[in-house]
Amino acid sequence: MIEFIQLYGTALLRPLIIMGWIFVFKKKTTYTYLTNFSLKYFIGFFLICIIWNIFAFSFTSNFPVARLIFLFFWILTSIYEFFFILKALFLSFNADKKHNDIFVITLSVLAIPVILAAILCHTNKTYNPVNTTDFYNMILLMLGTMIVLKNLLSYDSFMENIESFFIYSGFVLYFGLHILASNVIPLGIRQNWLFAKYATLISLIYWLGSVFFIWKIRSRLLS
Amino acid sequence: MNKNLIVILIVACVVSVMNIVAVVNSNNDASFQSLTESKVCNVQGDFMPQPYDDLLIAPISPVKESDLFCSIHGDFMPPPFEEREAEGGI
Repeated sequence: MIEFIQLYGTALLRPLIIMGWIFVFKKKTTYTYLTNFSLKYFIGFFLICIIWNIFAFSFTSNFPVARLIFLFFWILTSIYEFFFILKALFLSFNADKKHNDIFVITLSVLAIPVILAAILCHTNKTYNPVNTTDFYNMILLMLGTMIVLKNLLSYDSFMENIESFFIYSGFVLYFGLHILASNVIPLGIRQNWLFAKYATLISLIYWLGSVFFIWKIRSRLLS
Repeated sequence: MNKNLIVILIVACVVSVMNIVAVVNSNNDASFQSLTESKVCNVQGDFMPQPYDDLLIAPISPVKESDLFCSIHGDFMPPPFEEREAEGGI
């Protein structure tokens, strides 16, 4: 049972979560601009992960192709996460369309190490570059998400952004746990080699539980 | 122009440069950590790719003294296990 959860737990939870969040998205008609953006792109993030899993599952026996697919989707997911958090950060700072140039430049700067790491990983046949880059990415993404959360909590209309709060607090958990997961050796927790899997699993359970809390809070507000 | 956005851009540039330097230097490090990380992928994702060279390094620690003590939350901890018990034999 434990082996099954380790292998397929995260992959099975993702469709459940996406259904739950689509339910949240469809339940209400008016959202703030930030929450509307967050909900759409959060569902998009899960869609990419599900497509990634389908490809990974289809090519499990062909190791070289599976590795290439993994690197491609790792690049895609990392850049998507940067896009998502960076855009939310810009929106929370009330940036308008004239700041689009800074947004594009920042996203491009952040994408360079990701692409370089994947190329070096493929050419040098070592996972060191992607492991290192993922660690730096997680630190940046967690800091960015924490600033988004801080800005969200300072809004007068916090209840209007309750969905965003659960999305970004889940991301803080996800990025924070993955920082720990990428340091199982320096932190002396080598016996927990599957920490990265559990990090994802814990965050997914949080996001699944959030659907229930949002539904409960919303129904209490309406009554 | 919003100064917060400029700060974000500067932080992104600095961390990206640090990241590139770390990635380029990561293969020069001869430590145990570097060797292990070069073989096994430990990034985000549900299905990890196979380790390179088919050499899976999943370190198995022998029973340490700290394994015999309970260190979870709670005010009164249970007594430690006997070392022989932890090794599986009486």
